[in-house]
Amino acid sequence: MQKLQGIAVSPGVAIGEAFVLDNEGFRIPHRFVARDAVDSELDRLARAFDETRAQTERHRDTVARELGAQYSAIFEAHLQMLSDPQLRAELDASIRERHYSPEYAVSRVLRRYAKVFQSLDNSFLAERSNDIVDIERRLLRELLGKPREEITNLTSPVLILAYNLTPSETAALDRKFVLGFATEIGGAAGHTAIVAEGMEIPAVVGIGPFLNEVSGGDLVIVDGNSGTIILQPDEETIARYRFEAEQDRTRHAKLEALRDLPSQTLDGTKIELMGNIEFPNEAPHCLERAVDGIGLYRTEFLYLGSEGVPDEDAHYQAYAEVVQAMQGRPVVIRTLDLGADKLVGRDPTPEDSSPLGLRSIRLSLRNVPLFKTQLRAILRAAALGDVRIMFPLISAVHEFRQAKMIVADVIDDLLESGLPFSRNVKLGMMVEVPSAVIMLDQFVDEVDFLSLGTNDLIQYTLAVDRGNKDVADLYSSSDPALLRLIDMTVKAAERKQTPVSLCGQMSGSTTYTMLLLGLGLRSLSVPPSAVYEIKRVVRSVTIEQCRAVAARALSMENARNIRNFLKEELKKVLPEMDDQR
Amino acid sequence: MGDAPVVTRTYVVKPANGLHLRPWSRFVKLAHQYKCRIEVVKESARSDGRSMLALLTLAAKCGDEISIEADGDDAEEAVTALIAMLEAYEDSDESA
Repeated sequence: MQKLQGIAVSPGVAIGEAFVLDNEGFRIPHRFVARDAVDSELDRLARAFDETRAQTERHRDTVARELGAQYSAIFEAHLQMLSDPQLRAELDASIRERHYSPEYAVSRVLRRYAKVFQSLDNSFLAERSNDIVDIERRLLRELLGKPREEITNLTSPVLILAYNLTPSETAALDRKFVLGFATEIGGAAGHTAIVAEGMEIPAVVGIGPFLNEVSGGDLVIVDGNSGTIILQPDEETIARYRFEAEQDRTRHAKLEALRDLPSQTLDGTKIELMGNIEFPNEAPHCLERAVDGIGLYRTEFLYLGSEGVPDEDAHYQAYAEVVQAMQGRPVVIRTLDLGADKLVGRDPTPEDSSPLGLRSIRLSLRNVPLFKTQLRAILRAAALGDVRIMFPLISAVHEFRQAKMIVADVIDDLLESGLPFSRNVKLGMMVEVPSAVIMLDQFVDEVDFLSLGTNDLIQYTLAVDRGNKDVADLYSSSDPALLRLIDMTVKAAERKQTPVSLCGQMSGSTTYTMLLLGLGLRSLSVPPSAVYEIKRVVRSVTIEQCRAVAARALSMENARNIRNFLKEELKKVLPEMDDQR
Repeated sequence: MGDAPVVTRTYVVKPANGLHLRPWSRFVKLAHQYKCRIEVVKESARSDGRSMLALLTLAAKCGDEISIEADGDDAEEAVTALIAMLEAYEDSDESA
């Protein structure tokens, strides 16, 4: 049994068979063959070796011809490995005696060699493990007959273990068959993490190299609560996790009963619950949970794909899908919220990735054609439902005015084009820079709505870079300064009756629900997976209770004490509630 | 195997990078030209002289002493040729 620690990014426990994708996205399939198939499987292995050797010879000759013999030596060495009598003897024995499938045998035996090489105290040899992996890959390609098994075409439930999953790969995972996933790289702030949570698949990222230790079909446990994965679990561990998974399901089923109950407090105050999404296919998950709308539709994924800067149609398709899925409920689309480093066609500089740099609305205002493309698509999608536009990282009133003027320009262009669109689109902003909170009395004359983005508001208020783990301990959703800024925002919005919501991570954590209601928020936008839990808290409290909690929290001066206090208050109301976020 | 005696010769690894893909790949290719059993020994580790992977796992570094053992009718020729091959490799530019 081997327990590996990573970063927990999506809660839940999953037990199942491993589906291993290496960094080329290669799948290693099932492990056993029938006894009477051993001979034909041995033949299959022999053919794969012959074909791989023939290919390698062709490579060697081509490279020798074009680059010289010196460069083809590596293929000569590969050929010797492919002709290695000891390797063949081991593979044949695995198939003949243990009834391993050729694929599984190849993967297992070669990975063992790769591991031996890595463990040798010799960096030159350690790198040779890549040659072994390369040979493994080529043999598998022959055995499987195709270069890549599509993870989107699964037919049985699996746990996906991979070097990395891109956000779009993650979003394309079939929830019916993907029980969970674990990756070697990735961090808590990555988009993959956000998507995994949105899809409610237990996930652990940033584990470090471990794929050499597993083969397809192995039983693996992914514990998205503690951020661990367990390879070759023993019976006792399996039993314990099965029990936990069962409890998770029971808890989930109980929460589902909340679906059709209104989101209101014990004293009858209605609390709007919206969903945060990143990908169009998350919209149905929100609707399943009967949310009041989409409070935050992040559009960054459109810019992070491999196809470069998206055209208007790519934007429109994505927005239209969400707007139609939501059947008339409001959809708040946030415009580009990325640093210049993430945009294709530009060499990144250190300044680019700075949270204080050229990013988000600043980037949009300096790249008007890019901005207009997105706005045109949003206004066109608005013809299909209730669409609202939200600008991120607004730090001064003139930025909002400028963005508004560009929207007006786009409306003029669309009028000329004759395309269907809506001009009655509400324009709002994220409140995530302290200057915006301070100047909010000026902003409320300009905006149709506000949404508190606490993740960035914490970062900018406390001068803590969210991406820097050396200062991660200074970053806290319960910081007293943040509480005051939220309080100021709600009060400033109330004076003008401007709708205000909160869409940062703290909205999805039950620890803060009473505080937020007590501070006067009546709308929360949360990850779809958190909808029921938040609703449960809402339905268990009175506004008066929440106000008392908020007043007390506002009088405290230490983040940790505030957090403990909030947890205790929640426990008083819902003793069995366990906030895992 | 026959009645021929076991032939053993030692060799001290000279190339600065030790013995890796290229020399072993040539070694194996050459070894296949003979019929005798060929093994390479480094300290307590023993590898089939025709197994590329096993030879690599010996991790023979510069300064290590390895011995080549052959057993069979053409053992003497095989060992002589293999040592000559390793020595020729040392003198080539590739060993740098």
